[in-house]
This record gives sequence, structure tokens and C-alpha cells, in this order.
Amino acid sequence: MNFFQVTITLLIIILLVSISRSRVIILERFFYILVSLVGLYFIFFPESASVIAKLVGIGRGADLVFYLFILFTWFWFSSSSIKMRRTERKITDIVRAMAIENPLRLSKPAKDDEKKTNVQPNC
Amino acid sequence: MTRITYESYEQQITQNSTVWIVIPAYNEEATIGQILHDLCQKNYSVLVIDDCSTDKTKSIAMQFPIVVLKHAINLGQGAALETGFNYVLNYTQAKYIVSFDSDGQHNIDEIQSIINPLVSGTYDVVLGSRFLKPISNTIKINGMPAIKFLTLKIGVFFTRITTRLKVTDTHNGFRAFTRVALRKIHITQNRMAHGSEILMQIARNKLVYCEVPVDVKYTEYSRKKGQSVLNSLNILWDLIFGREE
Repeated sequence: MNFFQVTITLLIIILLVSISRSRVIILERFFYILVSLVGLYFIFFPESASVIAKLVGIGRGADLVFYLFILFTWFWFSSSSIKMRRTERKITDIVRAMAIENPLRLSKPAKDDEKKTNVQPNC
Repeated sequence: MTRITYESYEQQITQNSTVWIVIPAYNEEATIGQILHDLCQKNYSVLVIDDCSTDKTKSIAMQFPIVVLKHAINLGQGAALETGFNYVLNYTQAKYIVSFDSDGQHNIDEIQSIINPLVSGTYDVVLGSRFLKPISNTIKINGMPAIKFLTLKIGVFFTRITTRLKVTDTHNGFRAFTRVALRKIHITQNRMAHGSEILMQIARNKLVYCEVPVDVKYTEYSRKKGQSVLNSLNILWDLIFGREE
């Protein structure tokens, strides 16, 4: 592993983590557009992938693209999980608020002389 | 099912009662009637949270002079408990709050013994433990299957490592809290990992706790509904990967 590989990896990880935490949706969309453009570039100029790959110490251009894809997929997966957990949290809060705001209470039992001797359960 | 009459109860819903029993319930029509009947006879203030049961749990609970809350969808026992705690802290004068299971595993007579350490003022939290009573020599303890015993013991071991709490029973729903202590506890694990989460928060908030021996009855019914070994693995997963950022 050379210095270039290490720094690039760290930068990508930092970038991905900060984007996933960011609540600004535009940043994410920008990121996806960037990734798509990069992917397109490698498709039209496959030799450039080999050049970059040699620079970072990976064997072939195709390998580089593959590794980038893995990173991207992992980021997308964790970002989706985080969003899902947030949504679940919100659902829980809604259901809880509804439950607490609408308690089901029994009316107070009737006065002695108004009471029936056996009240049938109303299931 | 015993027929219930209003004359049996002298209690009305007393909003200024200091002890509240919080009971999360999901499809417990077979057992909840008797439990609520016995609790009301002893004049406890009771809150039942119906976690969107599909059976008659809610209508049975509504026959009693208690407060009943209902979740619009099924969220899980942890969520139901947190809803109950929320309500009790914000809408009642409760000073001592007891969580109690609706499947008939817990003993109503032991509610007083679980509250006593709180009343004395020395403790913030009291945890019920089924392992504090002397164990018989047979493999089945109070009717508990050996596999469950092992799984629970592993749970205890894991909890001791993660929370450094010396607790003998980590998954016992029979617990008591003071109001002040309960305000510091927020359950975010909706399903069955809430037990461990409560312990972690007790440790993090440095709450003073103690354990009291309680009876946990294992009937055929509760065994069917109890946590399987697989479920324990689920709990482990939830605790490790389920944290919010």
C-alpha cells in the first residue's frame, strides 16, 4: 500500500461519512451526479481508468472501477439504513403521541342506587 | 373468565396516586383479565398499553377502572413500555412506577417488596431477579427449560461486560423506578432489546439500583410466548447495530 492509496481512501471515507450525516439533500444529489459523471467518463475513456489505477497502485482500470463501485454501494447501503431508522423513530413518535393523547378511560361507576348488580362485559 | 362487577372495586381512577403499575400488553386476553382483577382489588393505579392487539385484550382491559392506551400499530414491548412511562410521568402524580408483565409470569403480591427499597429513599431503581431465590437441584427451575436458563445466563454475562452492572437477571420485566430516575431513562429499542437498553441507561446515569428476588411462573402459555434462543440473537444484533447516531 502506498501513501496515495491511504490518503485517497481516507478522504473518500470522510467524504462519504459526512455526506451521509448531512441533512442537506442537495449535497447527496450532487454526489450522485458526480459519481455518475465519473462512471461515464470511465466508460468513454477506459484507458484513463488504467492510468489512474497505476497511479494508486491497483492492477487494472477495471479493478479500480470495481473497487469504487464497492465503496459506493456500501455508502448507499449505510445511508439507506440510517434513513430507515430515522423513519422508524418518527413512526414510533407518531403512534406514541396518538396513544397518549387519546387514552381510553372507563366512565366512573354509577352511583349506588343507579348501579346494576351485574354489568356484562362489552367485548 | 370470572365475571366482573363494578361493585367489586372501590377504586376510581385516582390521578394523584403515588404508585402506578405499567403493563404493556399484546394479545393477552387469556391472562390479563385475572391480573387486572387482582390489581384492582388491591387498589393499585394501573396503566395498560395495548400494543395493537388483535384479540380481546383491549376490551377486557376497558372493563376495569384503569387507564388504557392503545397503539395504532404494533410497535413492540419496548415501545409500549416507553409510551406507558411517558404517560405516567407527564399525566399522573406517580412517585413510584412499576413495570409488570401481562402474561401471568409475575406475582402481584411481590409489588410491595419491589417498591419498598424505593420508598426507603436509598434506591432509584429496583430490578426483579428470578435467580436470587435458592435454585433447586433439578435442571428445570420453576418450570423454566434448561435452554432458556442458559440463554439468560449468557445474557447476564454479556450485560456485565457491556454495562459493568452486577445484575443476576437481565431480562426481567418486573422493575420499579422512582419518578426522578425514570425521567432519565428513554427506551429507543422498540422490540425485545429494551431490557438491555434499560440496564445500559441505568449504568450510564449512575442510578442506584438493587435487586429483589421475584417469582417468575413458567406455564405452558408463557413458554409458548417466551423468547426463543433465536430471539436472543436478534436482541444482540439490535443492540450492536441498532444504535442511532
